[in-house]
Amino acid sequence: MAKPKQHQEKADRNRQFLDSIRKDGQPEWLVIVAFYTDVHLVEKLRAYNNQHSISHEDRNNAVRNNHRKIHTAYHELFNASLVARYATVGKFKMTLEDVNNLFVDGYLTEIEKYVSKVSAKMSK
Amino acid sequence: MNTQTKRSGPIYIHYDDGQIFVTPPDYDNFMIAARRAVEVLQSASAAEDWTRRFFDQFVPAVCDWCFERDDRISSCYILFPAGPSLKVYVVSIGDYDTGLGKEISDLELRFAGEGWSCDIVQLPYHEDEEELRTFFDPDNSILVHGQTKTASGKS
Repeated sequence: MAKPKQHQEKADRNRQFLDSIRKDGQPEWLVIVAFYTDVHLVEKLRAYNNQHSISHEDRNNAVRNNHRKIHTAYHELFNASLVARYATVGKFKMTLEDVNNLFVDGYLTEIEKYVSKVSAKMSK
Repeated sequence: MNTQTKRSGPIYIHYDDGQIFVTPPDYDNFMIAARRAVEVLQSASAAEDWTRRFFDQFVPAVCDWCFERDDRISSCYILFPAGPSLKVYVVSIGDYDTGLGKEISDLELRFAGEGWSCDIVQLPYHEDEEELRTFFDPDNSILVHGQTKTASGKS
């Protein structure tokens, strides 16, 4: 089972890739990478308690019960990335600017700040 | 010999004045599909209680929530429970509605506070119900808001 530090490393790596496609990537992929960055940040929080999600359902349940402050952000990243991954081409209509503003600078940044704050407390 | 034709499409309910009405055959189909979920409750009385609360509380709450957003929601399906967490699919009127995000999250949190573990997913509008099958099986669902449209245009 991965440790908090290992989840943070994966999140950082995903974030690095996300930043590299922010200017000219496909909006769908921005949301997908943002969500999988988020996944590792939430798993980092769970790892402090030796927990590990077995499914998206399990992770959503953990966020709902233990990290309500970021539930909207987590849920929206999950939901939009689900549509981005599986809906037919043309169904995901958000622009690159919309995705950058709402999902990356908005929801993902909100989660990053929250996880950083909680991690600081947990690490003490 | 008893023969049964496989049902196609979601179960339709009638919601009137806070009460849910389901036809007996549809109720039977629901109970068969929901068996796995209620089995975790271990006793028959707990399962009965769960089913009663499902139709008396959960389904009407989803119906009301959708009705209040009728101008933004095209249809809404509750999947037959296959596990302890219920699944709800909300189909928006048009494109993915980012404005619904917080409202859906709030509804999940409200249900959690009432003892319902529930995952709610928003989908953009699909002209053809067949396209929804990418995400879930409408044949194993209850349509609680809006109408379905098949490829042939039948409702």
